[in-house]
Amino acid sequence: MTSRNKRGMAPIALACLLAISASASSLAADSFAIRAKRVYPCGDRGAQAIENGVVVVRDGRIVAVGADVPIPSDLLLIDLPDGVVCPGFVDAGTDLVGPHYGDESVSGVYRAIDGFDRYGDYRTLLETGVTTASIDPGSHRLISGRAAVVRLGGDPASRVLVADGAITINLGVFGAQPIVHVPFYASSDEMIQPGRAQRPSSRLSALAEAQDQIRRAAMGMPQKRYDIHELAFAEAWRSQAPVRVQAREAVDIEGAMRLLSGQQRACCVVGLTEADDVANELIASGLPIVLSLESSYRWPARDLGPSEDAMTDGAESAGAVGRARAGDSPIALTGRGQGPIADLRMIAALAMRGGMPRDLALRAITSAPAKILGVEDRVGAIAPGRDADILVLSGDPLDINSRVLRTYIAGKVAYEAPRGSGALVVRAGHVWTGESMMTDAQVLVENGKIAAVGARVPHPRDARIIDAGPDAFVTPGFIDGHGHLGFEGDRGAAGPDVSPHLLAAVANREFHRVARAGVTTVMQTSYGPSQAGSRISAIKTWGVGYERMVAQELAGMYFSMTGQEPSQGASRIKQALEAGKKYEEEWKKYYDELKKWKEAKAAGKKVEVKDEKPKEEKEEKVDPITGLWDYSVTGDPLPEPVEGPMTLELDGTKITGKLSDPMGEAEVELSGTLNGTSVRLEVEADTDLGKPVINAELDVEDHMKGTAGLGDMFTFQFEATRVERGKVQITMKRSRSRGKDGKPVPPKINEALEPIRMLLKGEIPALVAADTPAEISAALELLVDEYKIPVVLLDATEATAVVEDLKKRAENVGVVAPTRVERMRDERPYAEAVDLAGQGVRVALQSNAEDGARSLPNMALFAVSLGMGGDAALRALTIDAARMYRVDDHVGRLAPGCDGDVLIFSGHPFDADSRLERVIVGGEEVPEHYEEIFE
Amino acid sequence: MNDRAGGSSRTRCAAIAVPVLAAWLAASTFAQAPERVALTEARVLPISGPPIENATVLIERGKIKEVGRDVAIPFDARVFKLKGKTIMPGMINPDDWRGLDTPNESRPVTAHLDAFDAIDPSRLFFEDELRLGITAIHTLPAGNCTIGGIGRVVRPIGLSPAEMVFGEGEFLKVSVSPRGGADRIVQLGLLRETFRELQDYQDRLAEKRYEEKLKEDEKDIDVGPEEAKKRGRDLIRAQDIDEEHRNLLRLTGGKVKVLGEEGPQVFEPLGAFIECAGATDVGAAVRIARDNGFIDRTVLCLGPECYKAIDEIKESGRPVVLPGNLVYEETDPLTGKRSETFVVTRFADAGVKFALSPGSNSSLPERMLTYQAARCVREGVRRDVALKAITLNAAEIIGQADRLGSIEAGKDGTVVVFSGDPLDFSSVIEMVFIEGIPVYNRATDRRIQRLISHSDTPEGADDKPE
Repeated sequence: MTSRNKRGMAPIALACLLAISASASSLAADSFAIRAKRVYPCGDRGAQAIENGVVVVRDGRIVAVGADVPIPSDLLLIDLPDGVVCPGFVDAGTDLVGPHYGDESVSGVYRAIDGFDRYGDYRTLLETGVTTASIDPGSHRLISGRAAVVRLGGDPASRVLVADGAITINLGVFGAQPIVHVPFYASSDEMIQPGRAQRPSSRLSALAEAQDQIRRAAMGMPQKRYDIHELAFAEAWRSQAPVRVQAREAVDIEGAMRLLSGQQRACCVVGLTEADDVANELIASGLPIVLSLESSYRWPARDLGPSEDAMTDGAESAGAVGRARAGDSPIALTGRGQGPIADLRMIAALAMRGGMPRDLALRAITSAPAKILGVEDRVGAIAPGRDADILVLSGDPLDINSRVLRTYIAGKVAYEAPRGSGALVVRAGHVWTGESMMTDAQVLVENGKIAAVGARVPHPRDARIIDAGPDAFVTPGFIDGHGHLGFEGDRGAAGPDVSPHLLAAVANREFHRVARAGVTTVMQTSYGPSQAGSRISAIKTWGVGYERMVAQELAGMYFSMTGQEPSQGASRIKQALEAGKKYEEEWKKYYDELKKWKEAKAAGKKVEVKDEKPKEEKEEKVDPITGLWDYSVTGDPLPEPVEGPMTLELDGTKITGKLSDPMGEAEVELSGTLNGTSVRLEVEADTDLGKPVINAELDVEDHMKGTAGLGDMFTFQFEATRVERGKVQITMKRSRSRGKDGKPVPPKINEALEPIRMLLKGEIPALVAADTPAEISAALELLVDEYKIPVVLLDATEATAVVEDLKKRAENVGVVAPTRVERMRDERPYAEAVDLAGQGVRVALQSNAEDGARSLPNMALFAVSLGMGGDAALRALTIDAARMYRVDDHVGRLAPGCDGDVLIFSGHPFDADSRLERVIVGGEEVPEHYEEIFE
Repeated sequence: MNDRAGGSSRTRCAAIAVPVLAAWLAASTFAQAPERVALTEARVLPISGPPIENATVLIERGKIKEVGRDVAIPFDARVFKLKGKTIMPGMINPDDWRGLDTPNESRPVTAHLDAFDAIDPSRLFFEDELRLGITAIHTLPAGNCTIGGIGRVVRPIGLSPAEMVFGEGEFLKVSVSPRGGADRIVQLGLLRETFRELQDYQDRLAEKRYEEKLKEDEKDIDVGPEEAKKRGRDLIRAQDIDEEHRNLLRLTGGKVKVLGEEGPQVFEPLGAFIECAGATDVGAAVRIARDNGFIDRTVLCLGPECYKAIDEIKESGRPVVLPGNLVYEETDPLTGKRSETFVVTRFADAGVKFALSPGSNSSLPERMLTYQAARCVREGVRRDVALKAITLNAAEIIGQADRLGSIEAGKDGTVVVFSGDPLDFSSVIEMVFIEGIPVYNRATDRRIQRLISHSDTPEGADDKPE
């Protein structure tokens, strides 16, 4: 009962844990502190990171950032040991709004801010890390209106950073349509006029018209006719509004430079797909640059053509601008379009591949665009005084495999990544897979199993990333070759019909300690085997649910040769094996017959049924009712409980019996029925209120509970316990080997012999406790040679004497070394594990204890100090133990399909200064403190 | 009241009587309103106060004279004994284009238009509204415009627009949400342009009038254009301003002095019903109204999403008209999960004054204002608030609170008689009085009677089941 409860709690507790981590931020309102693995403040620091940095946010603003910042005691600390923090990205050229529908080639009336939905849900953009965006009224008109700067989340009232932003001029846009004014309604008084022509009609007149408009605006020249669009542009120009000129092709970029040369106001050039042709001039002009990557990679099937005019995809431009860079005019990156090109980090990656330095690329999506848009005092960097627009990423911001986990805008959570599938990527400088050593490698764990191991593994979009660093050393989880975790002091020997794996359900604090020590699998069995052997289960030390906690239900059979004559021990094992063999033959016969029967049936033949004499078997059965019961009736208005004996007898579903009053003086007849577990009894005593009726349920064996009622007036509690079971029914059961239609009947399953079947197939090994050379040889000859069963020798204290016998059968023999690593032999210190491992015998280590398994790594360390190589010790705890038990397809290795049990050490596990940093079992990290799962 | 014998005799009469538009017959007796009408023994929901059981409403010459338990009934009053019935004020539809022939003109700015010219009394819409207990409809151009024209409050009875309307229109329809073929940038650009052009129009008019004045006085031009614009302002006459600019001027509060030939003339200011389809439009609507001086005369006509802007709405202090669709449906862009929000609760909780609208789909119960109010109560809005939202609030919002919206002495004798509680869905409207005239009677409603008698259900099936 208890174990069931605990097991039920674990998933709930974990769910709570997840919920807490998700809601922690919302509790914090807009004041909190974040401690992350790495903080990129950007701004002046460029791509330089602060390791283990802290960001303190108060009332939605950043008040402090750094590695040694004290955390105010009144603030909630959000600890993100794997998280990377950087400022929200700023996109200086989105097409979130516009192009507007107006016909005017030149207009100052149109404001992008009017088209911005302040209440919109922009989480699909926040997902990519963009928190601030420049919006413009379109790139389809020469002067399309005024841009704006907005935030993509948070309180709608504070989403607008700049409402009346830069005047947007587009070069390279021409062929403006005439404006037709249709009178309402047309008459001879008011005729339909021909459309009013607009400039520019060609590329040639575009720059001219722009210059003309600017000159007129600057000089305040009166208009020929009332035109609010030109008027509004002129007013905006005179108010010294900033200007952004969008130009893509080299010729237009040159035009833009000419247009803006000598301007004292804030200007920038945007687009610049062909900037590589004019990169040096562009840099020399000192104009802030917003480079748009209009990538062709979205349509790989579309050729750009050999012409020199064919647009580049912008990556070369980014590289050229990045290389030509001198001075400190800001350079921002953006991309137009949807899909990956809307993702600023992807754009930064393309720019870096084009040759842009990493430092510049990171600035180009954070502080540089913030400066260009005139909002550098608000966003674009993590620095005191700025708004807390912060990203939490699973990895570095310029790593395209990392993703945004959470976005804060003005200190409030604006986006939270949906809880993923739980995929996990572990990155480390050294990875020992159990078979080979890899450097700078990654391990992907999905659905609790290892999905990939390699230099660069796939990163599912929602993967958690643990970047353990270049010094880290990753190994498979350790295996205890013989332990009793979960037995809780029960030292009895379990029979061959019971499986110890059910004890894994206990999963208590002791399991946690063992797991935290790095032992993730225990080859678990009872203390000592029974005469007929005991089962061994491979259980995990951490996980939610049975599936995760049990690596293999039946992983071996445990026999003992010690304490008896070797021949006697062998014959006992042989006896069990022979019984199993016979049993297996029964099954084999059944399968053969079944196969024949199926074939015959498929062929339409009738199977001849020989008239065989049915076998007779005795079967004993006790019914649940018959016997002597003690009953008690309680409840108002009875002054005290009425108790007494009753006898009941079951016949089919009918119950008859007698009930005595407490004194045992009067006796009344009972009659009733049994329906499933429901018992209904009528007492044959006529009262004024009718016959008393008892309705009870058989809740556990020999006990029933329910009510006793007297008419509608009274209802009492009724309870009865069987004190003496009735006579045992002995039925003779006749069984036939074939059913009526000739279909063979399967043999009866014998749980005690089932494991022997597996053993005989060689799928699981026999764990044999043997010490003397005689015992070891007898075991090897019987099991390995005669029955082809792999053997794991337990303790085998004198194995070195027969080491040649062991080596001869190398693939089928392993030794679980004694718990005492070093002991005296021939008055000299001797370490068996070291000796055997040195001679090439597979060795595993054991705890022979419950939570004592947590000292297993220290045991290995001790063995190393006695001369065992660190690598050999590692093998003993992982691959060798797994191989000798034939569980290497589950545990002991880091290979696709194996359980996701990963240990992260700060160095080689058996270096003195190495520390076990983190433990992952079945893809789930084992928390440092057991209580954490209940928090 | 709904006796079967009478019903069958009427059926016989139907063959020779004018078969359609029974309500119109009542309307034709408009001029001969009974002098005094007493509605007695009913449960009265005055809206302005708590319900009164077993009360009398005395209507004299179209106006309510007295309401209460102990009202002396004049000997000559026409008495309607309404035992077991409930009387509430006639309901008000605060914003609907359906009395007009088309929802909108094709041009964006048509401030000179007046709904009066497009009201079509023959629309079945009016008959339907009467049947549903709606006794006043604020008929306005729809939201597919920039500035749509002036609306009118009308009764659902009468043979001509003149008989139907409650006087001059007081509100222009304005939309900040993009009309068809426009986006928000262009929509707001055009609105700003319109008001700016109004300034320019007045300047040019002033300059022209000043020059004309100089000509009349045979003087030469003595000042520059800027000064001329200032001096000419007072010379503008009413007839100088065209209709479109006149209504815009009235909207902005008629900031210029207008001298007519008959002396100074004051333009009555107009208010605005501003269409806001999305939450983001609310801010733009409030800004436009504030910048151009009509915020105090503004009513916001909201779409379902606007509940998100509740803080801005509350801060603006303006009353709102809620849409017929009271539920906002939303799909999460990341998970694709759909969610629904009942929007009225948000407005009620924020304490914003609101009126409910009937749904426009005639096959759904949303067309009944009582159903809309009942839904609100079901979702947690207080009953008195929900009832006000279909009567008194609407009357205040459309500027007719002195005549409509509650049963109080002095107001119009415009009431609806329900067979039971108005928010009980099995109640039916049995009679409607407009200004004391019994204009609707379920028993003589030919369409309803035909529906009932032609159905396959047995006699009495329409009665409330016990």
